[in-house]
Amino acid sequence: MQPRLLFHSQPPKLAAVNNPLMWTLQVLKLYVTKEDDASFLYSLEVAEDRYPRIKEEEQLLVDFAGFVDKVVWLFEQCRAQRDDGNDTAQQDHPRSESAPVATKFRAVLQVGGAGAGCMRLVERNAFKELPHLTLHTKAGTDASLKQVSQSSSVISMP
Amino acid sequence: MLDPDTQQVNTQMADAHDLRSIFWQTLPVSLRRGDTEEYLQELNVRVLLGRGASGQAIKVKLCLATSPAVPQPASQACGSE
Repeated sequence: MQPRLLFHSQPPKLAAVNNPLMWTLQVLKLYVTKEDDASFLYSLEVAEDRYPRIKEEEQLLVDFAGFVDKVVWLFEQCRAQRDDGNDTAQQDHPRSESAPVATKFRAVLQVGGAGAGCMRLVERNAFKELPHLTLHTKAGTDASLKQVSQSSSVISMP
Repeated sequence: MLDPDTQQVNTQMADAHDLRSIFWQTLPVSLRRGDTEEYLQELNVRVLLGRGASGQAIKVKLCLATSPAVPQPASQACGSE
């Protein structure tokens, strides 16, 4: 009789807490909401074990922790732009093509009709717009809207 | 779950917990609808970091058996721990 290959998996319930095969995975969540519209929600969840796919798609060179840092940094740049009033200044006084233009960052949320969205974080310099990240988001459902609303009161601030 | 054919070690994730907000601001975001409509909106952007329930590697055991191919309970399988 030919030997046969059998596979057995260890049931999850047998895994001990101190099992070396157990580890803690990080999860990044992004919520985009609107102050005056409670039904507006676009969200994204990136688990650490799913990150390699995004890393490949976006041709990123950092690990998950670096990705988290960069996402926050990019949003901070977008905020700094608003605080500096760069947008207004450049619209009111457009520069000539030869004049140096400060680098500016902006977030673009493309929303579609199929419950999907796309958050793009781009850097614009004098030459072109450089896309840094494209994050595929999902439109909020009743359940996720409720969850986000409830979590607002319990999640610690930075 | 485990795929015996590919012998992949997969992970399982449950809902994240211990979430903490690492960025929470109102930002000007260009909102695009369709190909042409675009306007600037002040939107709340919140980034949270937490840990999923423990990622659990599923242990794969490869056994040789000469008996008829009747899967045994894990506790009796050869090489089981």
